[in-house]
Amino acid sequence: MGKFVGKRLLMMIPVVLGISFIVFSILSLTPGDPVQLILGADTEEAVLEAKRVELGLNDPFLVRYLKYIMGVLHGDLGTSYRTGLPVIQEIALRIPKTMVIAFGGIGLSVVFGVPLGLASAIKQYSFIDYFARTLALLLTAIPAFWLGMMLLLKIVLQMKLLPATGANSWKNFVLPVFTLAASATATLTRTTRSSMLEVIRQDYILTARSKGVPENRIIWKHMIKNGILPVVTIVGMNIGVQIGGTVVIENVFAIPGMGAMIINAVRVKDIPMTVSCIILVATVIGIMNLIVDILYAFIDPRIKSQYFGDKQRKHAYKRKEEREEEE
Amino acid sequence: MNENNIVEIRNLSVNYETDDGTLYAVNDINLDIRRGEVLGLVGETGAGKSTTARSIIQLLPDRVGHMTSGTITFEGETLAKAENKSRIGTFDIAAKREKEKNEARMRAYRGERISMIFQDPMSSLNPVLTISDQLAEVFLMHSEERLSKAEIDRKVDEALRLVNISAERKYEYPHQFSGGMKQRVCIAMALACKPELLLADEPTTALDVTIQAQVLQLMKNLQKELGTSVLLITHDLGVVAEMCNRVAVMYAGEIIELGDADDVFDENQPHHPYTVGLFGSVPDLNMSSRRLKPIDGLMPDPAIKLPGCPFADRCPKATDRCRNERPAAYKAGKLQLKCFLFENEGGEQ
Amino acid sequence: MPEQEIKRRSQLSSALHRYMKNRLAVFGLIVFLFLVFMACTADVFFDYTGQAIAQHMKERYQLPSRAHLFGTDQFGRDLFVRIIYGARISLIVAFSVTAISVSLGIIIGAFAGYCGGKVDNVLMRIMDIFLAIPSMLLAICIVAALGGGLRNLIIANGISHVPRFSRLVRSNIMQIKNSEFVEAARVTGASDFDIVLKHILPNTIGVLIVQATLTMAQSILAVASLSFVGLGIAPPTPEWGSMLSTGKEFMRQYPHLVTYPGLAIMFAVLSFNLMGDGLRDALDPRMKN
Repeated sequence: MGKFVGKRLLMMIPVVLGISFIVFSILSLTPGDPVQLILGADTEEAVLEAKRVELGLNDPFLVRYLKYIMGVLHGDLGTSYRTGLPVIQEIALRIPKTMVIAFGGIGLSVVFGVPLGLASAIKQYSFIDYFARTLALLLTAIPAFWLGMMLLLKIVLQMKLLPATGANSWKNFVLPVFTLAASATATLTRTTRSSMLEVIRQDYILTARSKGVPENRIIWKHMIKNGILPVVTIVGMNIGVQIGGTVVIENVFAIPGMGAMIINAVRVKDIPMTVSCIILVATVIGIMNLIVDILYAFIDPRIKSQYFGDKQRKHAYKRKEEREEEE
Repeated sequence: MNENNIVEIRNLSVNYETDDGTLYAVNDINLDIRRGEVLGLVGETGAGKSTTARSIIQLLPDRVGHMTSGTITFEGETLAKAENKSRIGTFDIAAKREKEKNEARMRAYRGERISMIFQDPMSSLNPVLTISDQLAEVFLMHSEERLSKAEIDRKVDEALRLVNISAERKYEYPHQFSGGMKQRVCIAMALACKPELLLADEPTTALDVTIQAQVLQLMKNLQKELGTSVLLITHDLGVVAEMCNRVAVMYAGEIIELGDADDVFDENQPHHPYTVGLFGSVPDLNMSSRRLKPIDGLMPDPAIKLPGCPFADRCPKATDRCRNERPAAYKAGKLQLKCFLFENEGGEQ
Repeated sequence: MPEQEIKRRSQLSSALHRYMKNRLAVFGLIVFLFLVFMACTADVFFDYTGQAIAQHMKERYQLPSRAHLFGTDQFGRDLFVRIIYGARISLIVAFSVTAISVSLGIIIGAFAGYCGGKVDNVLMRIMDIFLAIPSMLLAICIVAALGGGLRNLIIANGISHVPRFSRLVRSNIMQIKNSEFVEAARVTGASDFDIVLKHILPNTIGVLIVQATLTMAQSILAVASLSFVGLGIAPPTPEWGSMLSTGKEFMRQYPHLVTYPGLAIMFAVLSFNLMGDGLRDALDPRMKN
């Protein structure tokens, strides 16, 4: 399995490099001068030029890109155009908050969404089915930031149950996590429901029934393991969307996370900051997808033999040889 | 009830209620399965064979399949009676309880006294559970005392031995088995508790011809050894000839011919026009012919309940009476035939 | 002689029939048509500059009343009128983004699928790279690079949806390619061509349409989000997201400033989602029982 993980990690590198190149290009090759945006358009030309030299902006595009990448490979994510501080410092401060919201949201959505979808599928056409489906339908349409604002209005401003600003206590994170979880839950509910409905229709469920297996065991032993597979895939695919959503939600709740940082950086074309943030996010997503794939292999033995099959085949061969020797 | 019969089906009708309307899958059939026999149920796809089998084991599709009339008895005990209403109201507690009781009893029977194997072995086994797990499940469901792990293992090994699969392989997964092996596992699961009745729904249709022969031979041996009564559903006349004691021919939800296998295959016996067509359409390797001889036309639309004989449209001998009046089952020669042509020969059954 | 009638419906009409039987899908369609109607005829009923843009400071912060259905905003503008014009913007966004991503997706996907081999590999790797960036972040970058405004928002969103369409088209093209090989191998004449025309192409279009409706829904949400964080359409243009952004300040005292634009977004997105779901179910019916 180590080989598999290693191979996948290696495959991530060109993707991350590609991303860095694309973002770097988009920001560098389009009109808009970072220096002007940072210092202001009416600053004297001499001051502007000095700053440009300081930031190395007069070097040709490829040189700047390669310098940046070389830095990254040594752990140096560059220096922010805007603040002059090392990017890695600022990211380290802010990324935990963003990750708390993003992963908290994903986790909560799994906890709520999967059981709801399962119940919805098992008791099709019942009250809980209609409830779950309606809820899911509405939640996918509600803009997350609007939901956040409504919650902010009701719970913070009107009922004063939670603090309004700041990011110091866990109380600050309740609403952001919940808001993010809301639309993710909707997607998971629908996915789980449709996946489980597929499974119910399968022949092997009929076989199990013909053996006299009661409904409970059919659900827990036969259905869940099979039905959870597409759900796992969807969770993986959704991680990127979740992280994107976190950016907006941080804005609503004034949480000083990576979202605000990226937006400010992008406004002034702070290239090192922007590119570094995005590379980091892409890496996190890549690792999460890898974890999802490994999880997948553990749930579905067919995938397991696909990924790790060589080992099993060798094993079977050895046994066969041993047997033949004995004869 | 006749002592020789293990199953008696009387006036069975089954409907499927779908979004697009009602499908009349089985229309008023009478059938007995005798103790220890292999009864073949033959017919084209859509004739109602699977529905009949699934009615016996009470595994009609949830919410959709309904037994609208008739009774099914198993060893003298009434397994199923038609429901008066197709859906039980939410507050009809007595009816609900009755239904649950019946279901509980059926669950106890399934796998232990009545078993079923299905057509497609590729999808009949749960892909994420080991073979051992799935076999062990039958024992777990049907033993009165708690079995130790060692005992279960032993029973699993023995079940596998019965179908010529090495016990070494029991921790593997279905996708590592070939189609024939998977079907053998299904047979092992079905016969593990030595049931009195086995319902086999086209068990070899999805297999290669050579594997087919293997599996059929295995089933034949096991049937003889265990004395299980078998309802063998197939559309392959060759399989019927090989395996069955008696044969029932089904068409559009009705049993139109019934009798001993030898007699059904005997050209000299009088036959239902459909059966004639069926046998006539089997290509004969001895004769050289340039074209196949199918039966003209198609099976009637199951959504429409016809007043007369379902084969009337395609029958070369049909009369107006055939189209408007349903024939009963008449005895002719050694067979029972549902056709007016034989009305006067032996009288109604 | 009573003969059974075998009802044959063309694929399209049976799909339409199924769609119409789905109440939610029809609801979505109705809302969608209403939005389109409103967007097109807004100028007939209302005055854009006068009601949606111009400020009427004397009528600020009014609560919903008969004169102003949804109340007025902080500049005294009728919220209802602004929302109607906002619908126009949202629909323009939805259609343009979809048009761009579908056309680019078809070109790239068809190319990749038809050429196969190295071209396919390279193109798909590039698509993968774009897919690996969360679309929100990618859009933020592009918008920041090109500046704000409607046109650039549309480009940004359009680009971020291209990978999905290109994949869809590519897989269908590959199916067609394979059946062409079959045709070459067996000289059978029109039948394979029929297969392509009657089965594969309709399937492609069907899946594309479903994805298109979902893209429209997502793009409305995306543009609203971007405007909300200030990277999108700037005031005074009546875009729903930016209305929420400016209304946020006053939402404590005047919640109607944020309630109605939000509801508008929700209904628009809901209608596209319902249509997408309905189309998907109509084109690929399975026995739900």
